[in-house]
Amino acid sequence: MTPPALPADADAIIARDVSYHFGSGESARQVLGNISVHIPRGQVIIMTGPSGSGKTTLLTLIGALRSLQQGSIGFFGTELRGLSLQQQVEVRRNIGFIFQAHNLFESLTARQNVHMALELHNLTVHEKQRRAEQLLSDLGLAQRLDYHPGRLSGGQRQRVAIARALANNPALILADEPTAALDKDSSRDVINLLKQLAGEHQSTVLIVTHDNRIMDAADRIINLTDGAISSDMEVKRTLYICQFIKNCPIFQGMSLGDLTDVAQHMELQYFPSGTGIIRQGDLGDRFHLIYRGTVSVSVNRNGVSSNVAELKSGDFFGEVALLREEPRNATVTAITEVETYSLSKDQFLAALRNHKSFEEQVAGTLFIR
Amino acid sequence: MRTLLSWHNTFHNWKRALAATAGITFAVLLIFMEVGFLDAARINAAQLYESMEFDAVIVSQGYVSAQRTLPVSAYRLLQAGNVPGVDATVPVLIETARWMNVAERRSRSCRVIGVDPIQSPFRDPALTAHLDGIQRPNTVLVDRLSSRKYGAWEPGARVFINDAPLTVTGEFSMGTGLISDGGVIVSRETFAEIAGRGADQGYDIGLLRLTADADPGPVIEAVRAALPDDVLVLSRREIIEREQFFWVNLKPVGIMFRVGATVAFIIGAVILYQVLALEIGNRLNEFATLKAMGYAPEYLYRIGAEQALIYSLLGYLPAFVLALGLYALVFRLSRLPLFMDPGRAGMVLLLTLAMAAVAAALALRKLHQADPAELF
Repeated sequence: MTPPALPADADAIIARDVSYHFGSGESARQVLGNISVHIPRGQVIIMTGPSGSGKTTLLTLIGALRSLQQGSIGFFGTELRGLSLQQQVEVRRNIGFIFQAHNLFESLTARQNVHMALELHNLTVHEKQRRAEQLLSDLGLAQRLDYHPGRLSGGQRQRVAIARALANNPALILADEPTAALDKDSSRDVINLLKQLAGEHQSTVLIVTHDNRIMDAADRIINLTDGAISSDMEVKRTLYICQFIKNCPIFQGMSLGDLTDVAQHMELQYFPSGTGIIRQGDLGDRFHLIYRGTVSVSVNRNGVSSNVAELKSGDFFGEVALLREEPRNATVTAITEVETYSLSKDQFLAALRNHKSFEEQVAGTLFIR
Repeated sequence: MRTLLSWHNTFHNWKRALAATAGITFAVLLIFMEVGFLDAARINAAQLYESMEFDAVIVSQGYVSAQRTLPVSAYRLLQAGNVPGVDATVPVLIETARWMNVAERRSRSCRVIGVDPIQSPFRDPALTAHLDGIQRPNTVLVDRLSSRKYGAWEPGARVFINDAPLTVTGEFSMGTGLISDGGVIVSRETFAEIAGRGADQGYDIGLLRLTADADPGPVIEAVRAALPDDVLVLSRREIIEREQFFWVNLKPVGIMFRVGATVAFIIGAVILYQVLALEIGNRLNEFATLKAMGYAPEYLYRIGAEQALIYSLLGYLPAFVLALGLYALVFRLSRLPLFMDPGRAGMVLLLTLAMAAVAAALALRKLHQADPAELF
């Protein structure tokens, strides 16, 4: 049932310094410049970006549809650079491709179109029949097995194309605007099915799309601009952080976009009980938001240390030193196990500059203290 | 079982498949006709000699064809008859004359064969028996395969050849096809009446029959040595080949059919190329998708080649049936010896496949354009 075995431990895609240009000499036009990206197995990734940003070129390179010019791509442990055409064909058998157009043979029924993919592998007639019927049924086409594409709706055709792409349990699914030709409901259905089936088979999915309606289906969104990765965010984690920090007084009133920006740059840090997180007198370099646990804040005045506060989940600390460019004015110690989302000084100040009301908020909290 | 993609692709749009098949059928039928005519011309050219019993011939040095030659002196036949191994010499006179269709008041070409009724040159015993009927002067045997343009004749009828009034005493079957509208057999005396030249001025063809125990090669060599070089001494095979070469390679008719067959081949290849190019062109994205899925380019070429094969066989079968009918029709109308035989059926099948191969070789180059990287 499965395509040629891939090493079980290798990551799905590891691209290093991939550059690509069309044309040569004077007229050469670079479409990708030093792209590096690491895709573990099982992720559902959406790649977006304006047209001409090079995202489809990156897709075709990962899919072994083009030969690499510079850099390297590890495909489940196989280096794609310098593969022969024959080897490229072998690599492609591990990939399910879904295109903007369904590209189904009008002359074949839904079932036969799926068979075309299954015939790449040695299966008995019975296995093929069962697999094709199973897939098409999973995609809600049980009643349409023997229909030609001409008699199916747009959504149904795209689902047949998806069944064909999934037929061989591909390790990687590459989809280009799979929902472009579909209405809202069909788009949702198609993307959910794709995600669900990919999940069942532990496939890695890379979707290039402009379709905002399906962004939330991704585990990770990579944005390409002018041939370079302009942002790369883990959607779930970012959403989670946003959910968490939007209730924090310091971030209230911030636009969702800025909030996402801040969330993306936050790092989760862990401190065992009793660890000093910041020490009075040190130079401030990070801003902390407590995710879990309790800390105590103590101030040392004239050699006498006194606890001034205990902070809990949702509270924050460390902003004063960053804003005033002063040493830390207190010591913060974890009194339970503590996890914080922290932001570096540069990121913190950048967010500040971009967001006037944020500055006011912070000023406000300083005043309160 | 694998999905027969080429089969499904061919018949998915049956109207287009039908139109394409009709075009290819037409081309293959044309090939059948032209090749048939070419073979008919070859058979036709040999008919006269095939009907006669001989091992070698003596003809003039200026021999072009049976109808275009210079006379051979009777003395040369006597000389040849004296060479050991030669059993008998049989003289034959040939002349192309005009047959008058009295009813239409128009004349038609007519091959007149002058023979000695006592010494029949023919193999067919029935025809030899008929020769008794032309012993009387001004009597004639008419080829029943002569053109309908001759008008009516029947035994006892009066006909005119080169204005000489003659009485029909019987019929025979030989066929003249491309050579003339029809033919007759007469005695040497009647021949002189029609042609204005008699046996005294020499014969057109001198047939040599060898003794049963003679070795043809050395005997023909001996005859050649015994005779001066104003005559040619040719074996049976040589004279037949020469006659066929003249009609098929030198006369425009043969060249015409050959050119016709070539043109039909090209037409067929062009039609098939267009059909295949359209079939491939319309499915470039689907073929590119197959490449993306992991099908090797060879598989795509195979699909295209299979379609070429399907189309050529689809075109061949009806063309074969139609050719049977057209051959019969042409034979009825022209008396050309046009019949289907397995050799020709096989040869045209090979030509059809060659046609498909040429068309496929050109059309399949289009598959280069099926680039999966362009699908995105």
